[in-house]
Amino acid sequence: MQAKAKKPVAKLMAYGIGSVALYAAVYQFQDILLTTSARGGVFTALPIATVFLFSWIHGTFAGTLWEVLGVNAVTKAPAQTATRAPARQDSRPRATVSV
Amino acid sequence: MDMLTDAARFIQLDPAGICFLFIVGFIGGLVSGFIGSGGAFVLTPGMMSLGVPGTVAVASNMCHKFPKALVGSIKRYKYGQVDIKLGLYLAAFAGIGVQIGIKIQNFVLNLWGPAGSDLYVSVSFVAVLVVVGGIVMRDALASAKSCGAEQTCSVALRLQKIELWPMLTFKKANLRISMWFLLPVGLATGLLAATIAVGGFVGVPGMIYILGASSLVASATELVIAFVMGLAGSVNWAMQGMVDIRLTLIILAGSLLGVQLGAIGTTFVKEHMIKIVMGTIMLIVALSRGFAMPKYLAKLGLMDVTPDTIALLDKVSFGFMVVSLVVGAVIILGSMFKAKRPAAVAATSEA
Repeated sequence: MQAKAKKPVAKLMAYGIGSVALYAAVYQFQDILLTTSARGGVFTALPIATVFLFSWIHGTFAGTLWEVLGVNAVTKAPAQTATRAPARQDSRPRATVSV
Repeated sequence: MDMLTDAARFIQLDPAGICFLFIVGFIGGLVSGFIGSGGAFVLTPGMMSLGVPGTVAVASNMCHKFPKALVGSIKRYKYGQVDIKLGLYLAAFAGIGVQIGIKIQNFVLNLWGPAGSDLYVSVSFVAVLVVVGGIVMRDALASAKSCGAEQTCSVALRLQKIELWPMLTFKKANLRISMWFLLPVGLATGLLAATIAVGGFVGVPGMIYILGASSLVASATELVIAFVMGLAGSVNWAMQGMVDIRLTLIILAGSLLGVQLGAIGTTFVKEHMIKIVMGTIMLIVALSRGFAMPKYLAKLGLMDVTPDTIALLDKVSFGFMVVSLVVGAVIILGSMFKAKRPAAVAATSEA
């Protein structure tokens, strides 16, 4: 019987708390975030850096959530594989030559 | 003065609006993770229906698109489906296509005014989606009937045999083709992105039927193109201060969940399912844009329609857009559930 893989609950909790904290911070400081973003120019970095940060923290949380819920990718043959010779049909042993 | 402009630009959000954006973000992400594009065509009008000004809606939507595409492409790269080199080449050509698209838009705007420009966008939408969506759907149904492995399109095979310098090799996509056949696919993707904001509707079929990539590789590589183009577009909009970061982050909350589920889904289902979802969405969206056309024809004086009818047609048009996304999501989740069930039954019987 195959042992079940341990689910990354601790990772889910850590990134979940991180994600909630980030969203709470945005809610708390939404006015300053909006007015600074609206200035454009050099402040362009603010919204761009913010979405990168969220995609790391919330993205990791989202990926781990599906893993903990048991929704995992099915491992199958890669999309493109090199052409291989067809499997041998004959079950008899191959002839060998001793030199 | 600036504060007044900001107040008009950024709306007050209510719980219903937040839930709407989260749900549409999730469904749009699910579809994007699966077919490589989608969701943007519902989110922009959806935000505008909440009172967000058009430019802010476009900017905020684009700003959520590139991190979503980044997360989706990383996930699908882990599954061995992304050809980064192909994605970067096409993104570079698509960038030129966007500039051509903007020039055409401005030319049409100067010639026929805003109504003419809107009509041009709608006609492009319907024409491209009916033709390309029809081809994709026909091929998907043929593949579903044969139940066999996906075959490379004969046009692509013929083009791959033409030795026209410079020849480019893409290992992951398992193809070697002249750059001159890559160029029109990239240009068309950018042109469509600048016109109807969904370049993937021509980029993915272009990679499948002209370049000869499999639908898995094409849909995954489209996420790389979406990331590069989305990042460039977002920086451009952010420079003008048009991004409402709250809207972007609410949509992102749903779409990062959806895009990873969609990416996982591609490993469950048969390859023709990607074409079925894409063809279905494209044909329903074409129908939706068809309902929007009388409004622009009336504005140009080419059709006589009452304001009540136009308001009704607008609602029907938006309704069909939402339906297209929901139908796509239902097909994806249904096919994932169907593919997962035999595996679960086998595991139970083994235990």
